[in-house]
Amino acid sequence: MTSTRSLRAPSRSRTTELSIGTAVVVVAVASVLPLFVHGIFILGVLTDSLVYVTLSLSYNVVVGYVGAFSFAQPAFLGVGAYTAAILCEHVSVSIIVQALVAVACASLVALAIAIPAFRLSHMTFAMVTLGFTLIIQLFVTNQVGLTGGPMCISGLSSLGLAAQQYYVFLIIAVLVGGFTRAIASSRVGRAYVAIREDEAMAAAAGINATRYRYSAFILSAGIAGMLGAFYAHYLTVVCPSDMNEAYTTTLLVVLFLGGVGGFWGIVAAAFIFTAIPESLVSDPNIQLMIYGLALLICVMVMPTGMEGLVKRLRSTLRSRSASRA
Amino acid sequence: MLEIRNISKSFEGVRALDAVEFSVTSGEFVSLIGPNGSGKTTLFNCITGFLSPDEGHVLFEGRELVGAAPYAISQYGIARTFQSVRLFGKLSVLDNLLVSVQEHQAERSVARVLRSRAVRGHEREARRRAEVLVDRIGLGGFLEKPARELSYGQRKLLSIGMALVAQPRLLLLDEPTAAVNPTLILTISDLLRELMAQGQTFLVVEHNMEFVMSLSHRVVVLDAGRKIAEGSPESVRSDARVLEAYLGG
Repeated sequence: MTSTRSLRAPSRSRTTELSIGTAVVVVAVASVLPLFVHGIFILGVLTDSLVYVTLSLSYNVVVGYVGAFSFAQPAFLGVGAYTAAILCEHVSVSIIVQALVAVACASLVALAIAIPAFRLSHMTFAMVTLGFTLIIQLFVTNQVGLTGGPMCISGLSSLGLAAQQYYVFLIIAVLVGGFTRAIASSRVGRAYVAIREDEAMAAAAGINATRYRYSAFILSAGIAGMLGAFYAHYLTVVCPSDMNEAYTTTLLVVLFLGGVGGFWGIVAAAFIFTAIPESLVSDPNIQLMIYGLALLICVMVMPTGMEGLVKRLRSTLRSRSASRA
Repeated sequence: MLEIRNISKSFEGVRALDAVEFSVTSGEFVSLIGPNGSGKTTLFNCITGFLSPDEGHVLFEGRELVGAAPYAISQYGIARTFQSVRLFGKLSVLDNLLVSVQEHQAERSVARVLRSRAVRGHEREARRRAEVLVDRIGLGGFLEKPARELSYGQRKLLSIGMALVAQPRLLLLDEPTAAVNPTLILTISDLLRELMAQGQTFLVVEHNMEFVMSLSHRVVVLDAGRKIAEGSPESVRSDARVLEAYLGG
C-alpha cells in the first residue's frame, strides 16, 4: 500500500492547485449562501460559525504549527473585544483603527505572558496560559470603572444587518485563512513544524525555538484580538463571560477533530461543531458534554483528525484501484 | 579550528568526562573512539551546547562555545548528526534540507541587505543547493516524500545531508555507520572522502575500526571519560593502553 502511494505521490504544485481550487469553491459557496438561507437565526448561526472558523485557524498557529498548548485564546479574543469597546466609549474612531489597536493590545499581552511562560515546560506553559485566562476574567469583572464589570459594556454600534455581519466575518475568515496558509508554507512555517517534530534537531539546524514560539504565540493572539474587535461590534455588548476558559474546550475539539496543524479539516470541524450544537441544543451544559465525548472519540478513533482520515481513505482507494488495474 | 581544553562533566557523581583535551585543525579528519560509555557522545553534546561542561572550555575559531545555545553554535558553522537517526518525519526530504539551511541563509541575507544587494532568490539558491545535495546522496527521486517513509539507510543518508547542506566549517558525525549495511558504508565513506578532498573538517565518533583507520588523519581514544591515547591511526592501533581498554585487560 505504501509503495503504490510513493510511486503516485502528487507533486507539490498539484496539491497547491487542488487547494486553491477547493478554496475558490468553498468561498463561492459561502458567498452565495445568504441568498438561499431564510431567517435571521440561521444566518446568525452561520456567522457564529465563521467566528469559530477564524478563531480556530488562529489557535492552530500556536497549537497546530508550533505545538504549544495555549489555553489563552478566548482571553485574547476578549482583550480585543474589550479594547474596541473601551476605545468606543472614549473616542470615535473607525472599526479598522479599533481592530488595529486590538491587535496591538492582544500582541503585547501575549508577549508579556510569553516571556515567563515559555521558560517553563510544556505542561506548565498550558497551566500558565489557563491561569492567565482566569486572571484576566477576574480583572475585567472587577475593574468596574474601566470595563463595567459584570454589567458589561453595551451599546456598541452594530456591524449592520444580519447579511452584512455575515459578509464581514466571511471576509475576515478568508483573509485569516489565507494568511495562516501562507505562514504554513513559508520558511517560518517550516521552522514551526521542525520545532514541533523535534526541538533538539531544530536547534542543531540553527533554529532558535524560543524566538519562533514567541512569534507563533503573539501572531495567534494578534489574530484573535483583531477578531475580538469585530466580535464586540457583532454582539454590540462585551461581557467577562466572552473570555470564558470553556471556549478552549471547543477550540481543542475542533483542532483535534479537524486535524491538528491542518487546514480544511479544521475549517470543516469548526463549522460543524458550532453550527450543529447551536441550532439543535440550547443547553450549554449538554453542549459541553457533546464536545467532551467528541474529543474522546476522535482521539481514539482518528488520531490524525478528519483531514488525516480523508487522506487515509483516499490513499486506500487509490491503491485499491491501482491493484485492480 | 576547534580546541577542547580541560573539559570535565559529571552525572550524579559519575565522571563522564575527565579533563579531556585535544584540538582539531582545519581540513583534518579526527576520529573519536573508545568503548561504550567512554564519554564520546557526552563530549559531542558539550561541544554543540546540548550539555554544558562542569569545567573547561571549547573554542571554535577562537570563540568560546561553552554557555552558547545549540542553535547559536549551529549558526557559527558547526553541524552535527545524532547517534540515533533523527529527522523531521512529517516534513518532506526537501523541507528537511531547507530547514537545516534556512537560518544560516538568514544570517547571510542580513549581510547582503547591508551591502544593499537584492535578497531575492535566496530560497531558490537554498533549494538549488539542496537539490544538488539530494542527488549526490542518491535521494533525488524522493524530494517530496515525507522523511518518515524513507528506509533506514535513506534516513541515515538524509541526516548526514542535513548536516552538510548548511556548509558547516566543522562537521560532527556521531556514528555515521552504526546499523548501516556494508554497501551504504562504502557510499558514506566515499562521500566523506570527497568532502575531505574539498577541505572539509571532521570530528567523528565511530566504532567501525576499518572506517576509522581508512579515513582518519588522527584518532583520539577515550576510556572512562579520560583521553588515553591520541595519534595517527597506526600509532593508536598499536598502543598498549588502547588494546587494554578495548579488550578489557
